[in-house]
Amino acid sequence: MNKTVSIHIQGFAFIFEEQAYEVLRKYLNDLSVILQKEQGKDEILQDIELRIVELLQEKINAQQVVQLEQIQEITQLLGSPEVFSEEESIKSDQTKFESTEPIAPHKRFFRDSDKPVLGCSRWSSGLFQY
Amino acid sequence: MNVENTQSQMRKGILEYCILGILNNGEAYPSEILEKLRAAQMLVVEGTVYPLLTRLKNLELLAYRWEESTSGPPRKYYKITPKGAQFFADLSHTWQELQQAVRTLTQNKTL
Repeated sequence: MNKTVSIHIQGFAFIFEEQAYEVLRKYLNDLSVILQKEQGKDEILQDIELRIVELLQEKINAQQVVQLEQIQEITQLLGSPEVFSEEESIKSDQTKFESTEPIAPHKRFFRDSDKPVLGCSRWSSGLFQY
Repeated sequence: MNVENTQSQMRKGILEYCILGILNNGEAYPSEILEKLRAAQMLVVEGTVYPLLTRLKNLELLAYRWEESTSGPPRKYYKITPKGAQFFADLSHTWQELQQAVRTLTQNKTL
């Protein structure tokens, strides 16, 4: 028997197998870290989350649980976080002497026990705040 | 060094130009852009496109509008701005020059 997690991505509800959820959570967290110096980071992450929603809706119907294999296919299609880093490195080569901005501490993703979101687990409440 | 890495870097180098080229023909949302890039075998992985779109938008070369979709999440339709169209025209000129230069340098003169 597998544990499931209910989450919202960009306002769309999904039920994930716990392992699938962990993989996606780590993927988005890694992307957030890699893009931390990118202007428009939040917008890029939003675009990627919308693409994830689109791909999930192509793969499953509303009643189905998202499986690990489906998340692995999606992350493979999008590319590893290192790919985003390569992209960033092209830009940072051009601007490396232009910015002295300190690196912001990266956001982490925790279970939110204080603000559970209606119909979602506390993990998903954390995802909202992330 | 392997040939796949070099091929990948070559594609990445002109991805920006290709995206501007797609949008120079009319507005499109990211999935349509990805589909066109994939059909032309220009896509390495999808993720490389999103930072580029945001960067081009921040440079005011692209603009976007949201549109609700009946079949999924709202779609962000990108279009090229007048500044972007000029930028694309400049890149097109450079691309022609590069094509000519590479052809000259790499052609087999023994044939």
